[in-house]
Parts: sequence; C-alpha cells; structure tokens
Amino acid sequence: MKWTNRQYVDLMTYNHPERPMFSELFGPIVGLADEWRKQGATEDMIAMRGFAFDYVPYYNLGNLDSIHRQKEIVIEDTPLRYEGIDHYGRKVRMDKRTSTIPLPETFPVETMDDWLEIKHMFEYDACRITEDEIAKAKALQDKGTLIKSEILGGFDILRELMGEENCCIAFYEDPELIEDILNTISETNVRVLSEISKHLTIDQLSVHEDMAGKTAPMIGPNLVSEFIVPYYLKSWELVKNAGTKLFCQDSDGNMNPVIDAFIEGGINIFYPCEPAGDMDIVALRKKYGHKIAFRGGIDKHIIRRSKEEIDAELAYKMQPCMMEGGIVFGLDHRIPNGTPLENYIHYIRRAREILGLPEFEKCEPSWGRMAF
Amino acid sequence: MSTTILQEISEKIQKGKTKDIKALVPKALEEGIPASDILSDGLLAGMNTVGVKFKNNEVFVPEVLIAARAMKAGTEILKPHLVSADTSAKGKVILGTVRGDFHDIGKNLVKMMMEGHGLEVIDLGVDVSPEAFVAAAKEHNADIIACSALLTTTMEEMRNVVTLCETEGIRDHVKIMIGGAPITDAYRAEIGADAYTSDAASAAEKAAAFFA
Repeated sequence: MKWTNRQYVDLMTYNHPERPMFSELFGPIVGLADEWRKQGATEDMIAMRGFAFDYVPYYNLGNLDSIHRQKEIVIEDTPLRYEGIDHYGRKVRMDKRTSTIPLPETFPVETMDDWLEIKHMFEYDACRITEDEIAKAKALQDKGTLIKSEILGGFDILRELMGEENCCIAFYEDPELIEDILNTISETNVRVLSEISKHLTIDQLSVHEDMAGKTAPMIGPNLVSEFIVPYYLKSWELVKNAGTKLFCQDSDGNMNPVIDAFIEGGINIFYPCEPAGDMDIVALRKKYGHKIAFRGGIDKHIIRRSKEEIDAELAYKMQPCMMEGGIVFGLDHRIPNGTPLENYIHYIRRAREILGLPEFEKCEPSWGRMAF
Repeated sequence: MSTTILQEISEKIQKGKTKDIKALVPKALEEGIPASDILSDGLLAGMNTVGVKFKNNEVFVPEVLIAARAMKAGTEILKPHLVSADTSAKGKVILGTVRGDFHDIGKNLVKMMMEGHGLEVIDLGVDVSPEAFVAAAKEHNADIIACSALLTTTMEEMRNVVTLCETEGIRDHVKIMIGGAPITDAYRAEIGADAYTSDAASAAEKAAAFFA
C-alpha cells in the first residue's frame, strides 16, 4: 500500500498510527533474481511489487553531497570486473559477480593540504538548491510525497576521503583536519537547509554512516560526542526549529554502544537494525520506548533457514510492544543469495497474517525502496 | 624498577603514545632489562589489554590503531636486540580477505591483534583466491589460514579454501579460521573450518590458543 508523508511521519512519531508498515527496504542482492526465476518467480516478484509492500514515495531535496566532481575514468570494464578512477580521484575496483559498489584502493586526503585542494567540492554553491527544485518539492509534498534532505555522514565522509584507518587515526593525531572537513560541510548544510526551510518543512533529515561492524561501531561514544554530534546538531537544530520531526540514520552493524550519543545528536530513527550485529529492535524498544523508531530489524539470514525459524523470528519481532508505532518492519538489508523463494513467500504470508493484512496475491502490486 | 617501567610501557601502548614509547623502550634497555621482557611484559602486554578492552567495547578501532602504531614503533627499536634472543614467533598465520571481496579493515585488525599475541602474520591482502591461500600456506609452512569476508556473496569462498586444503593434502597440518559480518559458528561447522570468532581480539586469542 502506498502511504502518504503524513501517515509515515505519524507512524514514526507514534502519533496514533493505524498500523506498522511492512516493506522490503533494499530489495534483492545481486544474483538472487536469477535464482528466483529458476524457482518460478513472476517478474512482479523479482521487482518486489508482487508482494504488495507498503511504501512511501520520497523526494530528495537539495544537493548536500560533493559537487564539481572529477570526471570518472574507466580503466577496465568487463562482465566480471570494474576498475576505474572515481569522482574523488580514487582508484576503485569491483568484482561484479559479488558486489554492486566499487571500493576505493586510494584516497585523496592525507594532510590538510590535500583537503584544501578538494575543499571547494564541499562548499556552498547556488547550484545546490534552486527555486524550481523547491517549488517541485512543495507540489510533490502537497500530494503526499515525503520530502527528505540528506546530509553527508560525519564518519562516512571522512572514511570516503581518507580511508577507514587514516580517518580513525586522524581523530587523535590530526583533529584540526577532521574539524575543518566537518565544519566546511556543516556550513554548506546550514545554508542549503536554511534556504529550503524558508519555503517548506522537510519531512525527514537523513544521514548515511554505515560505520559499524558485527560487534561494534568503528568509533566509540567519546569520538561520536566530540566530533559527530556537534556536526549533526548544526543541521538538526535548524530543521527541527522549522518543524521537521524525523532524523534518520542508516548504519549496518552493531550500533548499540553509540545509540545514546547519537540520540544526543538528534537521531530518532535507526535503520536497518541488523540482528547479526546484535541490534534487537524489541530490546531497543524496551530500553528506549518511544524515544526512537526503526526501519528493518528482521534477520535476513533467517529467511534462508527453516519455516519454523522464520515463524519464531516474526513472532518475536512482531510482538505487541512493536505494534504501537515507530516501526517499518522489513529485512535488515538486501535479501541474500540462497534465499529460497518458497521461504520468502512463507515469510511474507506469515508477517501479513500477524499484521492482519490481506493475502498479498489479493492486493494491488506495490513497492518502493525504503532505504532513505 | 623494571616492573614500573614495563608497566609504564604497557600503559603508554594502551593510550597509543608513540612518542613516549620511543623514549621509554631505549630507557628500559639502558636499565638492562632484556629486550624479550620489554617485548612480552611491556609492548605485548599493553596490546593484549587493548585487545580485551576492544572485545568488551571499551575501546574502538581508532584506539586499537594508535596502540598498534605505538607497538610497531617499540618493536622497531627492539628488533636489533632481539636477534640473538629466542624470540621466534609462536606460529605462522596466512591471512587474507577471500576472492571477490575487497574489504580489509576487519582483516587488518586481526593482523594487529595476532601480532600482539606474538604470531607471525603473512598478509595476502584482499581478493585472495583459495589457490593463493593454499600456496602461501605451503610456502611458509603455516600453522593457520585465516579468512575474512564481509559479503554474503563471497563467504562461500571459505568453503572452497577448506576443500582445497583437503585436496592438496595440507588440511591435517593447517587450522582454518574464518570471520566477518555474515559468518556464524553454524557456517563454520557446515564448511568444516576449525574456528569462527566474532571479532579481531577473539580471533587473536583463538589463534594463540592453538599454540598453548
């Protein structure tokens, strides 16, 4: 079912929602479509629409990413492999059989001088937000589309520019560099978000961090509080004062040690809440109540196992305390390889049954990615 | 006196104070403390404490990295003094991220932690084929092959490593350890690997335990 921005905001703020949403946040991983076709999936199922998922259409307003990017260069592009130079001048590579995102081998920033050379890519420019774009967003919002703006991740952008190890070390050995990068981006965020907020209320501020492994986040609460929270608050306080209610963070892995710190930074939606990373949405609900909301939370690996395990996972995750709002139920990331179509259909049927929804075959096909 | 300075070295390692380590290690040598004691009771002791704190989520990757950097500075100073002493590594580990996977931070942390436990680690990098793992294990007469994977699409390469070790006749001499985001102990059992650990510090402890 297609939801409106208002319905979604009400759900995620626990404002008397009719019911939780049930969706697929990301869709299938590379290779799964071929597996499912062999198992008899329809093209509507491959496209996810066949399962009649809930979704809210959204529109990203304003460009808070890097601009004036370098021209990308392809070094090798075969059916198996990609290698090239990306918009930051990084050498990137990818095995197409296993991945969809090329990973960098080199990074543009090691010193303050390196940063100063590319700093202009992150500074304010009038092209970042235009009157036409705002007018378009306003018209869409009036018809129920969710308007979001996305700031760069305070950790994520450092990793992209410096590499994981160098940025981690820089927190201790070159904090001035970290602060200059984040302050530059903050100033741009504030100018763009201020301009937008004169004309409309952003429904959701988003940030992508992906900063955690299976057992812990890359950085701890001390560094989050010292560097990332001040960066978040400059944007969040501005849009919050203009009426925005949602600030959503995307991070895989175990974020438990830094949840409190990020709540201080304004985050009130965490996703995708990966159980393999010890993120238990039921335990988090019991700990934080209505202070935070979630998208995801259902273990994608369970769907590859037995139907009994699927039932147990859903019975646990979809218990009454989770039905009060503040949740978009869905798998905690892309549907993995080796997920039998039969199991996936069982998962959909069982979840819809618990939620009191009609059988998916009797509904209009619908789906939109909910990774925002 | 020696206990005090070794404790101090351990504490400075834990705080990642490279400059202090560069001053303290020569001072300890001047005091006549054997290089092997400085290594084991100062540098490695400090790094092992970092490992325990990392496992308990008391410190995180940045703190591990600066500690490892300080330890490296200390071992560089000790190297010439360790040549004559019996300080050979406890065992040899072939480490890499499996074929098709270019993620390396987890693998790099495992390397640091294993070295902190006195193991010699031969790091093959990322996108390592089963053939390369096995060839390196044979070449270096390794005790352990340690495989890392972040992706569900690449984890099956671990099974290929186990199978190739069997067909190449080295399975009885080599322990196979696996880890990474999608890996579980159930998967370890399924493919017949010897050990799965959920984090870098546990991987190092497990590897060291094979030689206890």
